[in-house]
Amino acid sequence: MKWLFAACVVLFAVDMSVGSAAVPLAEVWRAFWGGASEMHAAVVLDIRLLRACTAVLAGASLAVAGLLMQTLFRNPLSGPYVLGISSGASLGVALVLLTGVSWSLGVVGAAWIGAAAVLSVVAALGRRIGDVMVILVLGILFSSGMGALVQILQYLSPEAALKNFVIWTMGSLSDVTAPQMALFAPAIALGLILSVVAAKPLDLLLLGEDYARTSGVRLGRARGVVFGAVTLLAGTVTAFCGPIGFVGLAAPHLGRILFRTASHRRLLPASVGVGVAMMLVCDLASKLLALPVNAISALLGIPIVVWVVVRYKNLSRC
Amino acid sequence: MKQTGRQLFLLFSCIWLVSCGARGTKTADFDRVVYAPRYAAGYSIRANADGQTLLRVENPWQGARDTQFDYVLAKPARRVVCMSSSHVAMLAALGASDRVKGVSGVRYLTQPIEDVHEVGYEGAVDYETLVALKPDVVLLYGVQAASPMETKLRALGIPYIYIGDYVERSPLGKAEWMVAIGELIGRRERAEREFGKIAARYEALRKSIPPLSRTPRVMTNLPYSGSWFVPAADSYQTALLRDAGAEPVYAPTGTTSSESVDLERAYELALQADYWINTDAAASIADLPSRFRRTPAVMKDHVWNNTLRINAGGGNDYWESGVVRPDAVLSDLIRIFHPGILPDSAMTYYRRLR
Repeated sequence: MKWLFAACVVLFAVDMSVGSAAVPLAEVWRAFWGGASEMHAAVVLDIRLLRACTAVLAGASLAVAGLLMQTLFRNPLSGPYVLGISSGASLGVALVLLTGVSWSLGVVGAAWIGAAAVLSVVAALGRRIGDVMVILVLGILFSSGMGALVQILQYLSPEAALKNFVIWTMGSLSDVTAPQMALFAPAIALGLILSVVAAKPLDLLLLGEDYARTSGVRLGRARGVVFGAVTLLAGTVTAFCGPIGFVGLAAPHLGRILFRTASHRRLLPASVGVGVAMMLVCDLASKLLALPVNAISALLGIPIVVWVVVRYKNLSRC
Repeated sequence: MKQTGRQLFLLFSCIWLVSCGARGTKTADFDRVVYAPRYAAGYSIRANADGQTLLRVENPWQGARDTQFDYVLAKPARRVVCMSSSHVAMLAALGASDRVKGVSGVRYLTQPIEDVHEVGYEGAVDYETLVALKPDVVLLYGVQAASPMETKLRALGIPYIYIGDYVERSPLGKAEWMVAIGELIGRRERAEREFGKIAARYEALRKSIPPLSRTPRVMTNLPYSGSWFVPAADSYQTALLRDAGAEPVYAPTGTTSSESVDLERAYELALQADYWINTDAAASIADLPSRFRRTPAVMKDHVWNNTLRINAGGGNDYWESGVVRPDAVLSDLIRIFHPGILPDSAMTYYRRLR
């Protein structure tokens, strides 16, 4: 596990030294400890550092949210967005960018409210329905319904507004500001703490709901904690960075393979490490190629999932 | 607020000191109007007793209501970043291309500028380059809502100003924003002179059309994937057509945004059109939807597109200099709809589809 986090530190350092503004390495160093020019300090601290921290938080959150969803639904193809978080966020953002309704909320506020609203509806319905698979189906239906509403808004929008929206759906790590970070980081931290709380019940859930129930797990409560954690993690990341695909799906699988474990006590940090490393690589590639982060994360995540599927043939066992 | 004589609920008001040295000023002190636009509805320029000026921008994006930005301008901007090519054209019209340091979409610029950097586009802005350019001001626009860049620019301490040219509903109103930009760079008088010439030429052209026995009817834009987007009656495209002595074949009223018309109705309307202009991506008659190739406008060889000046990157000068030269656009349109009124000369923006 140590080497994984060492790799994350190295990637973070590389990410800090790469960017479109030509800042010499020594200046990057001096930006932190004093002596850098004002412009270089602004580039390194106000832009690069925020962006790299955003990548770290986003990677960790999406990986953990994906892991939680995969265990809860006992479905290896679940990810942070199966319950309609990204569709809810998209609808919120579409209302802001395409119709101008509630623009005072801003893109971030609207996305977060959209994501949280969807998850609360699914969770509320889930309380009445015992079967977790029904919740999964509801989530998928909800996503499609909201996708349809977004399509209507897109259809009726002028080109330039459409472009803004489409670009939002491609994800961006560079829009988080320092005051927003003060909201972003604590929300993610809280989500991660909730995930740690959920680790033990999740271990038991792996053996089946009946087994978990007889072992003393209160299923309703465990589900509530997981939903809360996923809203905080994936909802917040989507609000600030847009939907970022495949990291949440691929990172937990890679964690399982690298550490050959199913215990959430180990899988949680493993997924965090893999997620952070993946996001930092995505950020680097997105900066070097000047391409949107969502395209990079898909191109990087898909081969990993394919490799997992082909190598282990049976995803539910690995 | 009292000066405007109406109750303005300020959903959003912002005083931005474009440069230091203007601290401690109050917007209420700017009680002398130094420039009240004749055609543009979205801005005014005021001054206070100390001779400082304030640019007041109202409702700079579609659907904005009671939104007002007050910018106190302390000293002329020397380093400008433009998010829209029309703002680049306005600076060029004032002989200030050299002040443009960064642009969104450099490869689309049809009039190349020396030493200009790409800053990316809304939602994918390259903030590192933007900061490194040390702009005095970033010229923004909002589409349906505030620009997504606003929060980040504020956090980075980079001054910005909304330029609302694209929401103006008259061609001259759009162009008149060059005076606001002139004020920003310390060349208002020159901007007023330049705009005055453009407006005079436009008005003269408009009046050159003799009374017509029959007004030609015009179809605009290209039906695409089952629907046709028609500019509203109260829009800049329709205003241009009417000033050129033509009528849109259909123009939705009671709205300022385009309306989507389905293909059957579009075909019905196309049958009534004498001319067809602004065919978007269709560069030849063969690119038009097959069913529309036998409509009267096509049969009479009356199909024109505003794509005479396109650069290698796909940028169209119609959307760049065309915004500051509505007189040139109008002159093209009059020569399309009413051949013989104006002396023969080459088209500026329009070419005939073959």
